[in-house]
Amino acid sequence: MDELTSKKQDVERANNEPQRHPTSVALSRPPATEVDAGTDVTLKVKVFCPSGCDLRGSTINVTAPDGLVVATSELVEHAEHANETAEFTFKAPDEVGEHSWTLVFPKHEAEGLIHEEGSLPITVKTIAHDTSLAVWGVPSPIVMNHPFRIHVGATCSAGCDLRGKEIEICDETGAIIARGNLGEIPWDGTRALYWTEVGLAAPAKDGGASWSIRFAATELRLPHDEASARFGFETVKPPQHTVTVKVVQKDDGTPIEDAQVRLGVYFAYSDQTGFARVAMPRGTYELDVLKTGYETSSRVLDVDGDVTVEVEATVIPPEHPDAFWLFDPTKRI
Amino acid sequence: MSENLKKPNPVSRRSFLKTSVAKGAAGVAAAAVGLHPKEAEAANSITWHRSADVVVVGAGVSGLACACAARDTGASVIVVEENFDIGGRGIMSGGSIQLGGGHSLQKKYGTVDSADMIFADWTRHDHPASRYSDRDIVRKFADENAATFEFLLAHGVQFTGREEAGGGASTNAGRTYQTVEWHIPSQVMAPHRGRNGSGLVRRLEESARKSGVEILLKHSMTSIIRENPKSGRVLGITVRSNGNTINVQARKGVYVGTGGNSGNVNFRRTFDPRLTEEYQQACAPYARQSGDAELMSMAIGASLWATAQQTSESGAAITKTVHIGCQWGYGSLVFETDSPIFHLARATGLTVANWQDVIMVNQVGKRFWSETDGSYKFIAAAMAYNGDPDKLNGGGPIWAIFDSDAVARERWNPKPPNVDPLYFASGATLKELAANINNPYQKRPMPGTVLQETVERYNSFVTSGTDTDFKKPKPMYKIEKPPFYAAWATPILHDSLTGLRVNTDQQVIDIHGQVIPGLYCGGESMGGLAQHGLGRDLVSGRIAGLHAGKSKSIKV
Repeated sequence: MDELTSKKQDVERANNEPQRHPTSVALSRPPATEVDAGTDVTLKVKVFCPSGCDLRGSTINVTAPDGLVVATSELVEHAEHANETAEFTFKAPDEVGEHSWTLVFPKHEAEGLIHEEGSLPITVKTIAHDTSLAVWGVPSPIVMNHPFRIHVGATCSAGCDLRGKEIEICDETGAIIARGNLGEIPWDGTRALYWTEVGLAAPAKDGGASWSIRFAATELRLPHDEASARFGFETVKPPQHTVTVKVVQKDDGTPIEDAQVRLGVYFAYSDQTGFARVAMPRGTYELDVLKTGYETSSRVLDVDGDVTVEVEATVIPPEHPDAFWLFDPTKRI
Repeated sequence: MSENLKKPNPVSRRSFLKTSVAKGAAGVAAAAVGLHPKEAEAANSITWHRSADVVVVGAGVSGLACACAARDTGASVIVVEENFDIGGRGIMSGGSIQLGGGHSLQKKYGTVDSADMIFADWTRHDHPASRYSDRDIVRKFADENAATFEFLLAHGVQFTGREEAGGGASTNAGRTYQTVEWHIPSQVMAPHRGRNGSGLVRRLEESARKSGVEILLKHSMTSIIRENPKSGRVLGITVRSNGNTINVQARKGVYVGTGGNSGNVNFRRTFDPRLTEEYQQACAPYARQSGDAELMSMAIGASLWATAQQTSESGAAITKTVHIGCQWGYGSLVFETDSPIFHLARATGLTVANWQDVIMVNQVGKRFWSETDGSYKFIAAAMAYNGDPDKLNGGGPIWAIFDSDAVARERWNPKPPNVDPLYFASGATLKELAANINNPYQKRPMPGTVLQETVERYNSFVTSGTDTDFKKPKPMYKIEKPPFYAAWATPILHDSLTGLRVNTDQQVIDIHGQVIPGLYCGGESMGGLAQHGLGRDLVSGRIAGLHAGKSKSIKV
């Protein structure tokens, strides 16, 4: 082969040799560094070609360390040098701990042009699901030894099904005094607050009580952290007398409904006729009546028999919403 | 391209000087009207696309008053306004105008008042709102009160009648009068909420346009043109509109009436370093209160004045949010869904009728003060350091926390469009609620366990009847019934109570105490008189308009 032929062949080979473009992979939406075990990892990926090639239609693979492709997403956007996937998800492992994958843009050949493989390692930590509690409908005050009921609910950060799971109620010493099992249907207005009612009995001595609820979500497929919450109430001696409070408007004596009447730790709300009745033991109490838009003054009430008192409430004129021009030195200083 | 840009006013270098460009000739022409030769030279090098005697920056209350007053003197007037419509903060106002001094409506209803009584009220030593006033400014303000009221009547502004609220400080003269709300709801910006200030600005706009004032909307000032960077006369302004830059010549003066600085984080922190980015401002998102014009004025030498007034803690500089769960929850301002700017406001907010229904926590989930208080003590506690080592200034977001029982008592519907998902969260438990707060100003997650402990402790105060932490009077309701809610309740800023230094003619004063010829300022952009509301804006705008309108014109 003469020199000329050899050069010609080299040129032809060079001409036939497909062009090669390197690629690189980056995250346009990185996954959360921590996700609940067994839940979705969400991400969005970009592939760059320095020549600005449009790579739409090709795919990105999420590859586990054992080589298994756990997810694939197509490049759907192209702008300048970047090709981007839509947001996509894959399932995190059920086990708690650090997990790694590789985002791979596989080598891609089309029309005499090779795009080399590009890849990016990612790591996500899976954590046990957080659980949390709510307790509501706790009455107060409660007469010593008297039974009462509370609502207790538990939920999981990933919305896991907690039906039938057990909750424990503990007294101040930490001793379990009751148990309950969460019901079938989540509480209204929540995604997954499973709840139940638990019957309890007030302590045998009067005073403030602070009890707790514990929830250990065992026997679930996925790992869950424990949760606890506290609730309190006042325990009181048995009532001896009835205090009747009539709440009226000062100007015209009109009964005021739905005013909160407080006598120390005792509560009641006035009815349509303005009356509120509170059963309580003998003693001296501070009487307050509270109602939005009204003003009343506190008074001290000695209770040593059934008693009726009238409380006058004065209407507070609504403050002018633009009242700052009033230049009243008693205000807002 | 807007109409004015299609047809540039031929007041360019050539016609401006009306002579040859020879330096000597220009100098002679300038000298004839008292213009320094250098000034003429500076003017000579600028192409003026538009020209008027008085150029007003900002079509709010003070700007429109200035425009009308200047036009009354026979001056030609151009108003530039960056917004798509006029009104600034005034259109959001309740329209209560504090003006007195013995004007015709006061006389009609037998109210005794005088300029001296106004002066006495606004120079009181025993009240922080007036203690720090510039008494020269107050004197002129007092003297021009009654005339400004008559000026409003002459320009078609309608009032509801009798003085509405009484309370004129120490003299006890009633001088609060309310304008009639504008009759077209779509032009009120925040309709259905008694935004009577719309009647004030729309009537002034109507009068201004009728008399030939040109209002250029969507025109934003980018600089003030002065003869030399820090000396000489103000010649005009540069304006940006629709991607174009135009120069607007002011033959008699430029008026800065842009509404103050409380929307400018860097600027407002000059007076109160606590006011970091999380604090929103009333009247946004309609009016920006960007402080831009003050900064542009300062760039050519203007001085600030009476800055203590911003932090006197006597008025509405910082206020408790009343409508929670939206970005802008200032007390008297609600954007209903038919507001022309509802797409910007995004939510109406939940109006709190009883602060017993919520607790307020900071960004780390802790209570900080009694929720029923709304004084500056509450504000200060909300802005206190919350323990975040990455955020030493500002208190971070404040959240109102409540339960479904509170929703029932307040008759709220805690869903869009009543709440903005960025400024509102819900959760089945308090921990879940804390985790669901996703707000741009909440720089680190609220610890759910802390919020749960805060609520548990507060609930114990409800059962015992005593708030041993913050002495909230008789805590009424536990927060216990799911779902739970967190609604944005961060204090919101309102009045700019300080700004540029002016003299009694509203001429801007430089850092050496000298007048900057051709530059005027009023309304919330000025310093020296820290009055909430519209009276200060109107009086200062009118004084400036009259003075500028009567001043000598650059005619070369």
